[in-house]
Amino acid sequence: MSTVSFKNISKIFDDGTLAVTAFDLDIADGELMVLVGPSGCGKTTLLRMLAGLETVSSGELLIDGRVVNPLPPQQRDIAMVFQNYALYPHMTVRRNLEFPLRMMKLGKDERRQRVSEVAGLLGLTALLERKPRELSGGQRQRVAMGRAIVREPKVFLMDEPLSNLDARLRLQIRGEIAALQRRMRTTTLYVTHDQVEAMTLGDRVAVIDQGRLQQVDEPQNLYAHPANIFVARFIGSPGMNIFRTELHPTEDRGLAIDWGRQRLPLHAGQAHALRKYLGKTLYAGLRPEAIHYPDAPDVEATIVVKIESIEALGHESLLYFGYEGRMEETRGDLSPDNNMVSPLMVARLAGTPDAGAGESLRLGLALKQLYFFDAEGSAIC
Amino acid sequence: MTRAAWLFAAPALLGLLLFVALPFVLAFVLAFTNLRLGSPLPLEFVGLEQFRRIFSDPAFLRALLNNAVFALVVVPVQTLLALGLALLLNRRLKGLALFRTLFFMPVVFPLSLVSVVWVLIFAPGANGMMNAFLETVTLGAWQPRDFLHDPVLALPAIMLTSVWQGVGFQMVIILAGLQAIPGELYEAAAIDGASRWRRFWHVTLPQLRNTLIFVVLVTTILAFRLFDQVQIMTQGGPRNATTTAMYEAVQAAFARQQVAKGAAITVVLFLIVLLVTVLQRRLVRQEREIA
Repeated sequence: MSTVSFKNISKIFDDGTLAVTAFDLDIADGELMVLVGPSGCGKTTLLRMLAGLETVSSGELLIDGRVVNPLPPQQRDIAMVFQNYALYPHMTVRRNLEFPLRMMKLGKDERRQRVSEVAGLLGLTALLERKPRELSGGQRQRVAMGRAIVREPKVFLMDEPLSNLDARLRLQIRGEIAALQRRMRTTTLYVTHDQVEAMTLGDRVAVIDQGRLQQVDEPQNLYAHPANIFVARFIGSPGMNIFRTELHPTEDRGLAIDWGRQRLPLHAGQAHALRKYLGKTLYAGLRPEAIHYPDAPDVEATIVVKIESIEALGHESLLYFGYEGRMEETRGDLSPDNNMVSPLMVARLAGTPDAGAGESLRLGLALKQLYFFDAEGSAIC
Repeated sequence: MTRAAWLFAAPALLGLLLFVALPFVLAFVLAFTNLRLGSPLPLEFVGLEQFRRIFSDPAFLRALLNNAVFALVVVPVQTLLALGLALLLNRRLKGLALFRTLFFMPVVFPLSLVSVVWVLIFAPGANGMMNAFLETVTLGAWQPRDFLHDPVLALPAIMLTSVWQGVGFQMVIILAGLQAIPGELYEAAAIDGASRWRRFWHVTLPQLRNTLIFVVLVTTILAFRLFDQVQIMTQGGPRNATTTAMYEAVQAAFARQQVAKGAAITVVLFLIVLLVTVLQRRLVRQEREIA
């Protein structure tokens, strides 16, 4: 039963690196909050500050309304699952699970009971007398989980707990973590770089880039209403296609945008919101899911693309193609939007298209699903 | 193996044979003879006679006792001191390299040089460095003593020299052990609620176990081979108070030409060291089995 608040938190490392800037986030009691972002974005630093393993440069960290900045880790009543598990190699599984309880100076009987409860819950009962090195990766991961939950802490911290597992195990344990957290209802802060993990696990997801919070929302909202280009491109697999474009008035007093040398007409609602951007830099986005074969029902415009490569997954294919307007726009190396626009466009198509790399293919666009961003990359509509 | 391989290995093998294997075998053989350089008596096989003699020699028994006392004191003191130094140096501090160098420096000095320096430190009379130091810290209560000629203080004086000289080496080994402990374990323990002391007890010590066993056994073996300091600082005196098995062996073989007796003593020393080594392997193997 705990809440966690980051209030205007910043972290500057001794070498001057600015890891986190003015970070605000409130985590509700019992919530599973996922921090997601590319490597080096500061998410792990945030977690370690909450754990007490890193000092806070400025701002306040609260657990249950109490400022914990000056408290060492052992006084914060938190538990953490490390990326490499950090099991005590010289102790058996039982001793590993018992360790936090012994540090709490619990009696022998209570320790025994709690350990057997947790071992039962996680399917570790048969492994209690083994040493960590005799366990598989998945089993070690469970012991690490068990060591975290056995003491019933106020907050769970998980630092990329699945990254050392193979894909199948990752999927399975991801489900187990979700079920466990729903059952225990312990406030949890979960750090990952994998947006799929974030989307499937989080009650809410906080997207972080370059030490700043980009957006925090429920997974579906992040996907449907990204606050900026970074979130749009980061969330979704693959992320949103972004291209630079310009608005043009049409004969029927609507608006159209450029797609290479082609014009795509906008809907009235879109045009209304965008009218004030006439003549200004504009970025448009289209999810790979909004690009179809030309005969699909909600297709409103078709384009011809030159296929760069195809990743066939069986039930669907990811088709990569160059955006024809891109080359002339980004010629001259460092135009400011180089990291805003997608280097390659991608479409998610059912089955396997009847064309190969280097060939041309006609595709349909669902223009209703266009997103627009201003010159700074913030969402317009 | 090809002929070329043997050819390449030959110089090293020859060296090993000449300087390790041969003396070793010779010592074993000679220990059962009456060989004495310059003696007119013919070389005879005398069985265990030499061993009977050395074990009834009060000087040799005193030497073994001195070795044992030396090991019992120096091994724990030096190991704890090395552990303490290693813990102090195993952190990010300014000038750390300087301290590491300082503590390691005595290891680099030849033992004979170290011994000479400490003879000066232990100089008798009020002007001797150690006497003057003790007088200062006891506010004048200390009466100057002649450490190296004092039957009670001579052995402790040699112990002090040895600890000072040897602690840096152990420190470096323990430091390497400390640095091999993953930082995450400390973080996990802190989060699990362990205080600094408990982290030391539950993470550092168990993780250092093998390092410490190694260090203790090497120091024990070195304690039984104690020679240089004795030779230079006290020559075994006063009245055998600082004699050691190795010193007795050298005295017998090279001062009195009793080569067979010297050989017998080295055989006994070899057996002691062997025992210590076997003990170490037992301890370490136990650890592996549990692990």
